[in-house]
Amino acid sequence: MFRELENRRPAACLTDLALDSFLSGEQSATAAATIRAHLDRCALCSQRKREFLAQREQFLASAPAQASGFVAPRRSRVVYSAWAVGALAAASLLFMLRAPAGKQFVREKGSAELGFYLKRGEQVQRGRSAQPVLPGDLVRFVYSSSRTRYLAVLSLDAARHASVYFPEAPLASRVTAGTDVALPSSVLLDQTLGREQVVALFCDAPVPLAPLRLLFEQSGSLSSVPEGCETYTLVLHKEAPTP
Amino acid sequence: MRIPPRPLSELYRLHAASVFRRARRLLGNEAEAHEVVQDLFVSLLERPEQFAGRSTMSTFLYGATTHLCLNRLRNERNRARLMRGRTEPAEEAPHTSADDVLALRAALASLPTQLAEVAVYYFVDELSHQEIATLLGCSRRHVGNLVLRVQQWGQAQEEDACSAS
Repeated sequence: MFRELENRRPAACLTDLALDSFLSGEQSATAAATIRAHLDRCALCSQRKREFLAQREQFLASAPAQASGFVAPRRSRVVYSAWAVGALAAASLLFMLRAPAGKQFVREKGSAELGFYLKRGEQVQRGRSAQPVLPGDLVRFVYSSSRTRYLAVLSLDAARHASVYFPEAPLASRVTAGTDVALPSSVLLDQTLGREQVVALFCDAPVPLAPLRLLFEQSGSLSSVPEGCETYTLVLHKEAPTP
Repeated sequence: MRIPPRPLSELYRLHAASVFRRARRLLGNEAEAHEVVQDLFVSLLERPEQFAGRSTMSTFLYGATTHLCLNRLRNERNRARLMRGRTEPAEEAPHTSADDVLALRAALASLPTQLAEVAVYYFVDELSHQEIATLLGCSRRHVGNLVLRVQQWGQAQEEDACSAS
């Protein structure tokens, strides 16, 4: 069984490990120059290099779509709708006029925060943390940040299912500084009743989200986040609609 | 313990596809390969100190991926799957037949741990003795001995199979 597996690659060719290491920029200058020289004259290895790079690109592009636990199926669904712009502006003004004194959200640290607007039927209102919400409500998150950061919004519902609400990509997405900037999609709340934590991660780098989602689901909190990230948590209480 | 943001995001961007490629090749199952990627990066997030910087990150990840895959190949569910001869199509070396790959996975599930690691590095990854020595933290000569033991083990299995039939 093992005999058949020997000597499949020409001895002079680069091993996968050497190629992976080269493509990750880990080789010393001398070793990298040797590998480059080999790639210049070896069509086989040159082709493998192109394949590895293409696989990397394809993997990073497709990873969030995998249903194998990489990103859990969304309980509440991210939807794209046009209700935001005008409605948010009006509701925002209303909120500013009506906002009660006191802390609305739980901010861990830093100068970035997450808010949301709630659309129920035709009504749009500014949301607040711990606000009762209903299945079928549309939630549009908005962020405020004093500088450009990488943002992700994750949620953990009462059934301990974690979801990545934003972005629909494997890494946190770059967002520019602004106040109450609406994210491009809304979340259609599902039927899972109870307390849902929504955590916004504002990071200095595009952190990978799959490990964080899993950590959130397993530990019930995002207490361990990459350095350079700050979290901002708000809570939704999903209640059953009254008959 | 926290991991600096650049290493974690960079690691994922640079290495996740390679981890996935090797895991899929070893396990013959795309869904499980994704789980290996996930397990590995979660573990790096939680325990960044496990990469001590004594080797390159690629070398470290080759070792970690191999361990995770061998553990999976040895669990009962996968052993049963291998015995039934059912794996999903996966990217294989062009000169390797499906039967060889299946037999190899079954062998990896049965070999003693260190021999299984060597079999992965030598027969699946086709690494050099020097690279395997770095991965295992031993001499090239010892790697040569281990490869020989793997070959002898495979030969004995074939002889057993012949005498049983």
